[in-house]
Amino acid sequence: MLGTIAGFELRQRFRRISTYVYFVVMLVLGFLFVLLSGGAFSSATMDFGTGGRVLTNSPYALFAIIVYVSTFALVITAALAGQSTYQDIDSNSTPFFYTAPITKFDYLAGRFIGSLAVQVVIFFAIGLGAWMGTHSPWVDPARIGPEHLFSYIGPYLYFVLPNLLITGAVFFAVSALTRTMLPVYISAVVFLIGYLVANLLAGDVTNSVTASLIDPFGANAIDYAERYWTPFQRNTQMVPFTNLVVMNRIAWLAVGIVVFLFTYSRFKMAHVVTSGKREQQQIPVEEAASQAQMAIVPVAHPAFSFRSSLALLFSLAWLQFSEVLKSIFFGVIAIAGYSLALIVCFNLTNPFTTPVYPVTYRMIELGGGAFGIFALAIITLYAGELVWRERDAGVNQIVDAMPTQRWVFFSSKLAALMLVQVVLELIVMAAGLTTQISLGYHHLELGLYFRELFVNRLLIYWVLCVFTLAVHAMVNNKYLGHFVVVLYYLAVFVLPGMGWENLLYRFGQLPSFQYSDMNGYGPFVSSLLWVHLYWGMAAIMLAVLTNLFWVRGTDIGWKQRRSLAWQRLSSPSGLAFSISLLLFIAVGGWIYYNTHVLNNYVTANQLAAQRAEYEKNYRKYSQVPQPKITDEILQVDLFPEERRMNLAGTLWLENKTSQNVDQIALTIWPQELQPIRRAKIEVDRLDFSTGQAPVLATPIVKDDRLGFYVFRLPAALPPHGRMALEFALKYAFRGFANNNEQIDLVRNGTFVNDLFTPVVGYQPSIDLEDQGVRHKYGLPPMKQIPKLEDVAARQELYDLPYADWINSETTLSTSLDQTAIAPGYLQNEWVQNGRRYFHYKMDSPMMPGVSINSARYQVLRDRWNNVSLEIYYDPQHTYDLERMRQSMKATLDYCTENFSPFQFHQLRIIEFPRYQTFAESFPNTIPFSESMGFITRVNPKSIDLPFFVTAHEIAHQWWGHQVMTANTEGATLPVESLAEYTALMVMKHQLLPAAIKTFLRRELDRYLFGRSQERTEERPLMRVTFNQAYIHYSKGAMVMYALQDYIGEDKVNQALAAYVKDFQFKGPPYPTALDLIDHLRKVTPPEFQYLYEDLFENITLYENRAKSATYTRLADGRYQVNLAVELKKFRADGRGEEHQIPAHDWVDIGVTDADDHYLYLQKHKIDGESADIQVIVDKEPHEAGIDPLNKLIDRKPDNNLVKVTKK
Amino acid sequence: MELRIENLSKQYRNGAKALQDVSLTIPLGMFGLLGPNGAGKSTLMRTLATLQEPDGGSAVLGQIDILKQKDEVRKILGYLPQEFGLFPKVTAESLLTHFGALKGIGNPKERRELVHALLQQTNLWEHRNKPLGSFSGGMKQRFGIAQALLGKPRLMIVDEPTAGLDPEERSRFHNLLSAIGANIIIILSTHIVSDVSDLCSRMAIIHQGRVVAAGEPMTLVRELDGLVWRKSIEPAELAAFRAGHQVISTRLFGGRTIVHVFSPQRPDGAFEPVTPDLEDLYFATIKGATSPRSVEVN
Repeated sequence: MLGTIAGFELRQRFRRISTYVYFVVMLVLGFLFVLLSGGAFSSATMDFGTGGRVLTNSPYALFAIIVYVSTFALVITAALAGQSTYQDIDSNSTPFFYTAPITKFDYLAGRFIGSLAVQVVIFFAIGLGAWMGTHSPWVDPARIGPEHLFSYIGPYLYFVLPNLLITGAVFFAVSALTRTMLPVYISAVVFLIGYLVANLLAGDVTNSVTASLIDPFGANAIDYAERYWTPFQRNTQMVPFTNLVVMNRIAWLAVGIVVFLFTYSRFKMAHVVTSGKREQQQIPVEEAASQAQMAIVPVAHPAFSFRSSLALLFSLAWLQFSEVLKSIFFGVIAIAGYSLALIVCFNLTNPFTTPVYPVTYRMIELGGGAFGIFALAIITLYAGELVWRERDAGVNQIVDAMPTQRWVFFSSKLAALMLVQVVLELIVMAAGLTTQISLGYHHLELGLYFRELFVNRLLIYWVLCVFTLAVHAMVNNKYLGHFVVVLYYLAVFVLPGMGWENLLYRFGQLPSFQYSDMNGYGPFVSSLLWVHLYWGMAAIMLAVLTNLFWVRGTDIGWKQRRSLAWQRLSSPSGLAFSISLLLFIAVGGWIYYNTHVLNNYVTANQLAAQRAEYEKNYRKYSQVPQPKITDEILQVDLFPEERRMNLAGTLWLENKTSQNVDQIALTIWPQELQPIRRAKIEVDRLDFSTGQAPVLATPIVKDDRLGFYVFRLPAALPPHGRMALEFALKYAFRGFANNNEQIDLVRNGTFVNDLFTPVVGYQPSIDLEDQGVRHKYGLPPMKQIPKLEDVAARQELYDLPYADWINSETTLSTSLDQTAIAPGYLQNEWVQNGRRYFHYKMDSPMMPGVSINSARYQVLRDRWNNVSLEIYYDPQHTYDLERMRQSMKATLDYCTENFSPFQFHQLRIIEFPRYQTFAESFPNTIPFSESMGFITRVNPKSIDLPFFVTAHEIAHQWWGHQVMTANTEGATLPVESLAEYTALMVMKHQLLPAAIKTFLRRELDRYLFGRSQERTEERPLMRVTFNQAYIHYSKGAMVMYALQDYIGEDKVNQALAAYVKDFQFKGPPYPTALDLIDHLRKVTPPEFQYLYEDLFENITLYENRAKSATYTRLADGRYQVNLAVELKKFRADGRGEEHQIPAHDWVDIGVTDADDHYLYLQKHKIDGESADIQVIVDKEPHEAGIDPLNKLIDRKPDNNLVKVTKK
Repeated sequence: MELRIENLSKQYRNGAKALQDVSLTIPLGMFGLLGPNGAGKSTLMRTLATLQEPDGGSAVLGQIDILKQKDEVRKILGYLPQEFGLFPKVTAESLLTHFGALKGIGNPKERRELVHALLQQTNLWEHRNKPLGSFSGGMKQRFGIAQALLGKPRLMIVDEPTAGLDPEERSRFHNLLSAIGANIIIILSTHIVSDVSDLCSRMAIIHQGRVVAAGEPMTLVRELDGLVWRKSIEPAELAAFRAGHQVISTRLFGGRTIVHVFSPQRPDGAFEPVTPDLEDLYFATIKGATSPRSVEVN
């Protein structure tokens, strides 16, 4: 009987077109995602975080694709599992099934199994599509590896099938018990919440275990298991079945089974009276057959004016709005959304996971972002409910025959849905305000809440309301309607990644924008306004169309609907449609003019193509000898209100080669290349002179588009010869761009760097880096950065091939109310023609590079010895100034005591808007992002970010500005890793060791995760390349910390001081990482020399753990701890392939007491894989283990300690 | 005022011809539309209630073209569909009030009085605060009438209103309909002959999408005078009997089958004459016993 019922379900599903639609959609999505990750489209933007080196058909990538698509397909599971019993209720056929001689179990289990079977078939289409994708001719063969059947099946075993069971059981239960479908969709949303909360928690490594368990889909458990996998492992190893994965799967399967059993016990195969009150209400007994009372029916006066229609519209809208609000499911979603928004808001941190102040824009971003999915869920679900409200209740024929205007019905539903959005925005606002108030933050910017939530967000949600209603009205099938809407969400999500970036066709999407406390909506205002207007017009057109096609009556064939719509077309709707169409076209034209004419519309792919073109055309000039810049004299006129800048100046060039130079090449960072976004550059002047007389050079290349120029000199410049380049450029950012709006030149908070000035020669930094992309454009593999051992490369500066130490002088002008700052010392300041002028000059040669900041600043001034300290900040951001001031002093103290004197007599920190998140050290000048340090909520438990970053950047005044490194591998080790080391040391002397441990734990995670995402080749620290931040920052910090732990901080500093002394302010040949390591080796005792091989020269990884620990109490009252530890040491190559090597290492052995204080912490020499260690301590031991502070790079850092038990 | 239907036709996508050249003129008063299930009654009713588009033909009510001026029709229309649901959690009074608003009765006081009167008239006053989900079939049907009566309609379309009602409810329903008055057009579709004979002054029989008879019930019935004969036979003889006679109806009585046959003359002595009634007319018509006569009615 069970089989019969399951078979019935199966057969009737396969008779429905929707089953095939779902199947085909899954197939196409699987296929499409494989093509996306397989490089079939112009850029492989969809690599699921797998990095470019993970193969498309690797177990990892297939897992990601199948998981991704199947999560999206939750809506299908909801429809199928929910309907498997609901269909009987919907079609009023319950009496037939309930009275049939079948048991409850047969009925429920049969239906469940039948629908599960259909789902399995549908979901297998993903894998099938993926398989077809990998065998299609469009996939780059380089991205395909050996095929394993299990790569396709594994995701189903661990993920898809268990999840179908789990989610299916819940959906099935909810619909069987409530006998309605809406709660099914609500529970789909609740599943998503669980998944999202898990994702959120997983963002912090310390929560990973919790995140792995609470994720109902298990994806986070698997992600966590694979988190540190290198591309090699991802390509070759199957999805891991770790304990956490097993526990997650078992726990959630148990939930599914319990839910099914509960359903089984509660379900009644009986007719249920669908009344407002619970259960059987007595059907009223009629009074004796009385004559119908012939009451006198008063005469009514129906009125059908526009005004009465309007009044009806309001009352209908209000009625339906309050129905939505009162529905229990709205309550569930709203409360869930509010809670999630609150969690996210409270959890607010900066990108470095330190807490920040709950400034309003962050509240809106976080709360609104978290709530976003709930808002979409509510729009989608209730659009369906509202459109089907009368038909679901069966009153549609009555209501449709009433003399109410059609537009009143439609508009009332639209208005109700729009009102619901207002409530949703209020909820977001409530979450933000709750957070702010409970954190004691009282700068509540209600105006900003209003502008962002009730204008910017609300308007676009309203457009979505129209869209979803239109879809439901047009499709005229509730489930298909939901599906179409979800497809739309998916489309707008993936299109930009596929090169479809144009705002003009990404319906309902706003240009990306960022609010900044310093600069408000700044450069994004006009694009937001116009795009809102554009979609607003589109929404009006759509609304008019929907109204015309609104289903009224019983005709639902397309032909009749079309002819009815034509019939219904009246002059008002025709007029409204035409006017909005005209405006839509006009506004669209204006947007096009701004994004394509005033600005350059360049997709990511076109940008790559232009970079390739630059390289192909001009690479040859990298071989032509070029002079270097020795002096940079700039006159910069900033017009912040107009977002334009006139940049003129003189560059003094010197032929430092031994050959004559007869051609000079210039790169003016071209308008369509990074990092200048979409600027139009006017080149007014590019003249050469001897300083007294002009030199008439002949232009032989003049490429304004790619920004490359070559001049032939009338007479060659001999070695040591000097000449001047006089230039004048104009930058003006007019209108608005399609995306990547220009954010350097803004109203308040301009930050322009030297990329705006002309530079000499071909710029290798423009070259495309990604191997796959280079291959696509027919470029040879990237030229390797010169080897450490390459002596010739020492003549050139790392990243600055066109200069050595330079003299710098800058004259700035800006608006009257702003302060403009550049490196150097202020010589003079004056006002002229209503503008403020500043003249800066550096008194000694400095590292090339200029930063220009201009904004309305307040200044905090202090002194350290003879150095004046200044912090230029936005008046709203006073929170962290004290931390920065202390850090400035502490770092200057530390560096001058340990390394060398400070070379400047002034040091400035300058705030710039949060459009970019970093701080950067220029000579005596440190631009510092408003989101990087100015709003950090420093507390004793978290890393003191403003303090740390300030220390790091000030350390660069030594590492980078006193000693510059050569253009070889490892160039960033003596710069970034030393800055990290210095900051860590400054912090160590200020903070508790616990904070250091937290810090190192995060750095360990960043390093291990970073190497798993490596796109080319992981290099040893000594040979790190400039874009491997996870190595020179994270691994560098760990390695340097470990080193000072082994050989002593004073020894390390002694070596660093000697290194500074040898290379300070020296021109070529520049030092390399080898010079640094040589100095360090000199101060290292013989037994620790092996560390250089492990830490700097190779990639070394550990898997250490404490196996067991017991203690016995000794006669003298002390405790003897017997500890068994394991030490596994591995070497990895650049791809991530590893082999174990024998260990002969000095490692920390530690014993703690119950308060986490160390009773014992000493280094032991351990030879071999395991060791038994005896330690005697004074107090009762609590935990003991190996490398408890995680100084070594240990992939499983959490099992290093075990509880000590009494023997 | 009268309703003129001319050459109305409708074919569904599956090929079923629901209406074929239907022409009728319906004067003030109660008009019965009689026909078996699937005859096209509901299609005709829905078309007249502005819910469906015919393929061709016209329907004009007084000065109003029903097919084009839908809004105008709706202003004077009361419609009770054959099958309908009601919001189960809403009370009778509040839903009726809501419908009143939809019918254009904007004045809340006026609307309240009207709703109260209609609830009393339909005998639902006692139940006005009960959720509609708890209503019995008869109560639901009376609620349907109450909403159809909102706003003083001049055209009432009630589609199979008595299906599923018990005899008492049905009689109450008849009283209600007849009390509504003769000043409006009421079109009542049914497959129950006595609904029509009890209530309607005019009627039409519709079969397989065509109007096969129309006129005053008594006039139509009178045309069968002397043409209907009755005989009591054994049930087992029925098959053989059918072969020899034009049977218009059979029913069992006391274990024997009473057969009505159509015949210009008394077939034989065992037959006795019957004074024909509407039921004989109905069955004779839909069985094609009577040659399709001109159904010109006015």
